[in-house]
Amino acid sequence: MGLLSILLSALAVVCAGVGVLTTPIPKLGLVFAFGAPVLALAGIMLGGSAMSKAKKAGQTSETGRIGAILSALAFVPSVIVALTCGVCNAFFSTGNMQVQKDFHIGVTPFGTDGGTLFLPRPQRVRPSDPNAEPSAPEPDAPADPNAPADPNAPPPSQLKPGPGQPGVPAQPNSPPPQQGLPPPPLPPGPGK
Amino acid sequence: MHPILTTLEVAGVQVPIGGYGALLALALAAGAVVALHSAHRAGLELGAFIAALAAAVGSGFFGAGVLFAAVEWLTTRTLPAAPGVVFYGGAITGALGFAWLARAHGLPLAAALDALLPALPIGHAIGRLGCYLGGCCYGAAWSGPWAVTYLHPLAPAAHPSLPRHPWPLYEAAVLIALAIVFARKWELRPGHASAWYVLLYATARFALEPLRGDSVRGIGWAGQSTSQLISILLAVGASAVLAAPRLCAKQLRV
Repeated sequence: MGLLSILLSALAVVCAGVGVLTTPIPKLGLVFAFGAPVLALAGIMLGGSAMSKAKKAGQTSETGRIGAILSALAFVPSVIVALTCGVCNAFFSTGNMQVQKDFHIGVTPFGTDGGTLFLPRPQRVRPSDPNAEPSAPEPDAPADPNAPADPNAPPPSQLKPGPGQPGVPAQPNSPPPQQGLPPPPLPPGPGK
Repeated sequence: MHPILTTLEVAGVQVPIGGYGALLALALAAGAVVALHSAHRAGLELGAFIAALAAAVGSGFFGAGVLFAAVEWLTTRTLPAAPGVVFYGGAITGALGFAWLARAHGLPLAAALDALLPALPIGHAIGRLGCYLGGCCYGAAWSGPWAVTYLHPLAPAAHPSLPRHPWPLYEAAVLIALAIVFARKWELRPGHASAWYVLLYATARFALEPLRGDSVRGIGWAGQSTSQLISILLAVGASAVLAAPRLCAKQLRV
């Protein structure tokens, strides 16, 4: 029992490390991140039980004591991993959070209820038809900052600002201008 | 506040260390150290106490998560998008897990529960400070002199960002007061210190609940939140234990 406790403490540490590395992988990271504290707790229980049984038999269980201590030491970082990486991975697994190529996390802000995140599911990009003719850019589409400048275009000072921009009163029936989203949040772990 | 304390880079992966998670880990560690000291002072067998404590933590987290999901589902008919915890769910299932393993190892249950006492409010208070950092468990909108306004987009209390009661600090103050009271060795029957603690905490929680600001507060019955209903039940149970000492001694003796 004592040896098993030591083994579980080592497994908990490994699980926590793998849980950190597999944070962006849905479900897999969840298993490792939340499995680590479970293994550590099982190690503490087995270590304590080994100590208890040895004492009843009039002996001392050094392996049980070492296992309980190591599992307790493994439990603290495991909890942190579960409540940071594990909670993040829960969002990936439910499709409420999207991982971009550079591992930045793009999400919408918290819901107004405060207790739970209500995030839209990531939209699938529809593959474009290769035979379709190139369409004209949408008038409301933002300008590409990397596109070459049009030599015939008027200078910026002569461009008329559109609705919603400074200098132009908003139309009575026009929709309000879209505001920028706040920085991408990560869940702090809601509690009650 | 500080929902993210710092960010570590592990093998090229950015790992944010959340304030809530870090303080919860600190709460568990500090609570365990204090509980072991109390158990040693009470002459309890440490190996069995350690095993029971681990069972309490494991079953407590499970119950806290289950009650969180149940409250969300009963209120909104949808399961929560992310895991969360409710203290009362953890306290009830944690006590059951502790009692199960304590009995299995032959620990005197009443004395073992009393040995948890200074540790429980200390750990709970540190956990509430984590809530304060993370911006969860926030208070109702209020513009008094010590109101707090969360601005960090990660904090649930920042949506909408309004001046609010610093509710986690209120409860942390109550818990620190309870920890001071129960740090003293009272001459009581075994188990009575635990019953007094449950009664006092449930009363304080019932009184503080109206200052909470989260919209999801449970199923609601006669205007009460889930935590208030549980507070009433626990207070009645603790009062019964205190009023019937013979019954208590008979039930808790191992």
